[in-house]
Amino acid sequence: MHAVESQDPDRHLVGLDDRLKGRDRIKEKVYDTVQERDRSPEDAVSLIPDTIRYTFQYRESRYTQGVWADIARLKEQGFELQKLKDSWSEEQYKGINSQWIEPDTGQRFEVQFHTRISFEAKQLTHDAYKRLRSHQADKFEELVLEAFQEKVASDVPRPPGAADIPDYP
Amino acid sequence: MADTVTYYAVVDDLSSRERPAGVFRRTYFESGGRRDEAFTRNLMWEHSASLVSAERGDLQNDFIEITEDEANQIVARIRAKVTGTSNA
Repeated sequence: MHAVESQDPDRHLVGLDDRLKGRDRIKEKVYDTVQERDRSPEDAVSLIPDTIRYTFQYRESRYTQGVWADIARLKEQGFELQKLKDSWSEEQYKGINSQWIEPDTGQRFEVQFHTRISFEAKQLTHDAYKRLRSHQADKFEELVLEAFQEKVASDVPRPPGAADIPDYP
Repeated sequence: MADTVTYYAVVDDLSSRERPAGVFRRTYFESGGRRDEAFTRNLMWEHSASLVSAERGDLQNDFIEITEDEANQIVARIRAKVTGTSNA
């Protein structure tokens, strides 16, 4: 990933210290998958696409062309794109998340594409998101948490052309 | 206005739109607020955060809106599988 990063000094990887998903969150996802989709624990582990996560951060003015260029660079490195979801038109979250696979090992990893502000918005709302996931908030608190997430997300400037990057597949 | 319920088929990398892995519903209450539930292997609708995660960019599952009848068919399939009353 650093090889890809080195090809353009105009943007960089952020959040590298958090590139590995926490053990508790992995357990939580496995439990939910076993309960909600009747998967074996082994399958549930294999289905988690984002145990490793990288985040590229761009200037707004260079975001769209930068994302296209980095998608091409990742493919040139031999990684295969599995999924891409453009959330720039969503209410609760702004950014693009993508799922990749390293074909030799089968290792999957996630790459997120953010601006500085969309990355900060994600960090700022993370505790609200965790609380919403926890099943412990009552109806009123849920409304407040969702309103907070929407307010933060709505204040994130959308880079020109960002919402036009198509989902994949 | 009555509560409104939207149903979703849940598709992951080991399933398909034709044979979803699970079923999910979001209820908007007339009194305000909403509740998200998945039909679990406990054979009941239980609180779930999976759609909230998907709305925040989680790529593990796709949520495809379906009708109540389609949701009931998935519920029946899950029920049959868990109770061993079919080869589903």
